Amino acid sequence: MNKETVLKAEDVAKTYHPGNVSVEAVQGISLSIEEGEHVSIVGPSGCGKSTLLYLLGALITPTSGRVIINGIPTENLKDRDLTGLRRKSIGFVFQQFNLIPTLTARANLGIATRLRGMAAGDEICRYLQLVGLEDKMDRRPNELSVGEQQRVSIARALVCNPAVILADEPTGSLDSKTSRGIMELLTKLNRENGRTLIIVTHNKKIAGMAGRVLHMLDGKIKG
Amino acid sequence: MISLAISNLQRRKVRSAICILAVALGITLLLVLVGLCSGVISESSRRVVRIGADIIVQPAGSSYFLGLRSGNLPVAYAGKIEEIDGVAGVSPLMTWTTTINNVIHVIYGIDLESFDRIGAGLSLKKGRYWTNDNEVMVDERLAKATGYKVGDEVTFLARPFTICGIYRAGIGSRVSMPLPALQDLLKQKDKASLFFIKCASRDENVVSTVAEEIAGRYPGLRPTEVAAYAEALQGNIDYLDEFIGTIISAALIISFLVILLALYTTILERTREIGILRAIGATRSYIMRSIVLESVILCAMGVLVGYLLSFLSTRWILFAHPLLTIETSTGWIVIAGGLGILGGVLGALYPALRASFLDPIEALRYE
Repeated sequence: MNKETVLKAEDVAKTYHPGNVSVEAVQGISLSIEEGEHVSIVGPSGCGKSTLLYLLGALITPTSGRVIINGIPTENLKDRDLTGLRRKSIGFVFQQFNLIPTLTARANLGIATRLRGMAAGDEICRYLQLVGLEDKMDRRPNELSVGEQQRVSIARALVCNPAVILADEPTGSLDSKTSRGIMELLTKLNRENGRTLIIVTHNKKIAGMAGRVLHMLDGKIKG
Repeated sequence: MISLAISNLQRRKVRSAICILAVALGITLLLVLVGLCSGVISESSRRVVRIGADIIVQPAGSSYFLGLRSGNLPVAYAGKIEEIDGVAGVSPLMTWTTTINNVIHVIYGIDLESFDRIGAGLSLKKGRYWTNDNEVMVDERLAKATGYKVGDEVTFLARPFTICGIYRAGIGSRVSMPLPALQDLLKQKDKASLFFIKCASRDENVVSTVAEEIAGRYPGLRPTEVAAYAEALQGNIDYLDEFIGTIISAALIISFLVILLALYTTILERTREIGILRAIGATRSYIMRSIVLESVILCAMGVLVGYLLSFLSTRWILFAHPLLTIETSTGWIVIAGGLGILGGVLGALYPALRASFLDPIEALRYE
């Protein structure tokens, strides 16, 4: 059975201009990621892994080249349409969890569903149960352990049912035991639910769990 | 969005409370000062209107504030004006000012007989009307504020008088004495400051015709229809509009600056959070609306607290200064509330715009 391409980068480059210098964080990368794939992006610090991830997730726009999400070219989309596409298609998991500190776990997921126009009280409970936090739904992030916070972050990424999960060092702030639990959860979601999973990581063991590993160096994919 | 806005406001309770208080102070300043201005002016004019006359005749060029001029009109004009068609009665009045407990009050010198003919007269509550030129009457509010009682000896304009009666407040001046007594005190025998005219009919045309006739016959006199007196009095106060405009501007600027500063610092503090919202799919307009909503909630609370503070301040001022009148109209309450919220919305616009244009990745990296 042919699988659909959910993300495609065509000769994508991103140059930053901090001060008077130019930094080519990503240089002419082309790649395709199919539905249900589990891809790891590895490489040394500063090689452009996170930048590539954010380009694929349309959180930043490329300096040149183009990104296609679910068959929709993003280069000419207005901010509102691009945000809508990201909201519909992409779920982000960050190293620092990035939960809204004043809101409970339930409300953090609630914001994501409301932004998508979903009335999803049951879905919120279901995903918090899925990540094992059914008894901590009404706790704020500071009342949860770091592992639990990352679980809330994963549940938030999943609750709107996106086709792709982009995870930037999702275990970077966790101890090895908690990391293992989080990765088991993510790979389970990939295998059993068919979610496309792209993970940026330093960790070779975590990278090795993916079906495909992209090695980056100096803004380019080396293999 | 509302739950997010409320949770953000709860995060910095002291800052939110200060914002609410600052907006409330602007509202209080506006309502109390405007209420005081309009209260004093409208109460003055209302007391003149309630006398019951239809026209006030003063020397041309006089101030509409009674009491700023003593007598330079011969009382004999009364008989001449009474001959005009449509005039039912004329009452000469002498006005002057005196100080009671360090507050200036207007004194009326009244001819009781003609004063009763032009309107309802002084409505006696205690004591009796004067029977000689050494007696005065005061109104209930002055009596209550000063503790004056019937039979008390008082000194007005350096001359002793006995209080013979207390009349209902809200008509004429707070102190009334026989016309000859005030003429004698001011050394202006047979003179009056003004005349109150009662027309045969209250019909606007009749009153206007009489006023025009007086103005035509006696160019040195200025007749003012009582119905238009309040407006004329207000127009007589230089820079009143500018004064009220300044208060309005102050209230608006306070709201604007406080909200601008509070939300600007909030945006800096919540940069990462804004990045999170953008990453999970919030549009720029969502970010803007959520910041403006915070401001509207703050300002709405400020407005409500402002209404409460205005009410309490008004009570306190009236308790401390019972002779003052503060009138806060529904219109001004609505205007004050609107200004408080408008200032907040304007103050929120720049921080909201700035927040909405934050680069999500830069925002997520912000520490």
